[in-house]
Amino acid sequence: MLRVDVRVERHALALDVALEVGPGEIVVISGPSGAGKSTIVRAIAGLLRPTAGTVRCGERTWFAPAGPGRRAVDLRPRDRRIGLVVQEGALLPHLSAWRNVAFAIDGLPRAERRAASIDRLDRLGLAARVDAKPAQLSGGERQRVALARALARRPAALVLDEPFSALDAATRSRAIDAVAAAVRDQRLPTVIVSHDAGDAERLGARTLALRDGRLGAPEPVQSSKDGA
Amino acid sequence: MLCGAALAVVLLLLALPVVAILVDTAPAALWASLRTRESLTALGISFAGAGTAVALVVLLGTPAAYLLATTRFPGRTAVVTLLELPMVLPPAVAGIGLLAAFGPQGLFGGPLADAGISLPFTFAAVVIALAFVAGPFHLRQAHSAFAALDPALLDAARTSGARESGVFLRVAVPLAAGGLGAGATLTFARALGEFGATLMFAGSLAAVTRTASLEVYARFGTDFPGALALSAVLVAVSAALLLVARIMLGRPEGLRAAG
Repeated sequence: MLRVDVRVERHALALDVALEVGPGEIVVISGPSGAGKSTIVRAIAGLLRPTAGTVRCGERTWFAPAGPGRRAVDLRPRDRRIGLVVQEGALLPHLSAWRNVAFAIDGLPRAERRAASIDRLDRLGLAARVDAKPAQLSGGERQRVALARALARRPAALVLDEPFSALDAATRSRAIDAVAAAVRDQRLPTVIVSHDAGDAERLGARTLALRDGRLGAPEPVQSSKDGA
Repeated sequence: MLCGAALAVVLLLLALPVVAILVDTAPAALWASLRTRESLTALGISFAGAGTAVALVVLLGTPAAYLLATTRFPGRTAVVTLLELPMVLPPAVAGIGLLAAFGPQGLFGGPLADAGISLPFTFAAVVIALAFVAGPFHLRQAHSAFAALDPALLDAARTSGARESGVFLRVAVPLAAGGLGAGATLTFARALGEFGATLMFAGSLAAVTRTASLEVYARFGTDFPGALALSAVLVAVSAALLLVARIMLGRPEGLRAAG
């Protein structure tokens, strides 16, 4: 269970969002660009400090201000065990696909890291691409490597920021299926930021709309079925 | 047409002295005067001094530049300006500054003397002078290389479990390698050419602090061909270093960022 209840005030942006995502549940956050969707992602991941509020995942507190009798908590991103995938993947361009995945694996001897990374990539249909550098991969392949890297951390929650927007329709539906399968198998609370209502439909996800800094029920708008 | 003429004049002005050095030296004479012990010793001091200075500058300056490029804090612009200042200071001013800081009567002179250390007129003084004058070249190049990195990649490393040291060493440094290499190379080139600050702070003691450029100066009154020969070596090495820096940056206009 991922529970987020944060306020963020930065520059012209004022967010006050509350969000609960159960194990294996997917919540899609939609909203126009500039509404602050990525800011929510960064606050959950620990890349940005909220002005106030709490972020909890399972039994662990990731962020909480100091209160009576307790100290402030603000775990570093690496201590949050979050699987994060951002638009275009943000793969490390100097590392091959398997080394990108291995980057996220700790606690294994060097030799086993390669095998574990290749296994991760294989599960997403990338067995033939393990030695390719990100620049040699297609958009869809990069996104799947990024997903493999996020899952390789054995995350407690998965957060995807516009993971499908750079993909063409066919690649997109494969990537969506890969995410849905991973979430189902590992029972991960999952937040997906997307400006496309079609993604949520395909994932069978609950959708929340970010409007005026708050999360609420989406407006009943016509959604494009194919999501392209 | 006008620009072509301007380029011709620029080329003439900038290239003629360099060409003159190379043309004025008969290969046989060059070889002979280079093989003198003084020349070889001076070149050795130059390379050892510049090499040590570059090592220091890279080791300390790279993380410092990373911090300056990736964090925002009040007064950051002032700090960056201060660090780049030695690059444009007159060499004599740089020398005076070093003496005022580390000389016997300087700010740190007392503590250094208490520790039994006297810097002026030692090889260590050469290294300090070179690092002071040439270091900003690396700082500046490293700063722009780190500032050009996509922050999303550094964040991806963080959420993938990297410590801040890992983000720096395993992501930022490899990705900025071209700029860092170019910065180190330019620093080395500038250090090889340093003259004024070295002369004032380290002196020109033969076989101790007399670098190749100081040796050129010491000789030009008495042994002009010898000075020319040594100059020719410095020209060749500097040209090679500039070329290396250019290749490392991977784009010809990249050198502009180095000032």
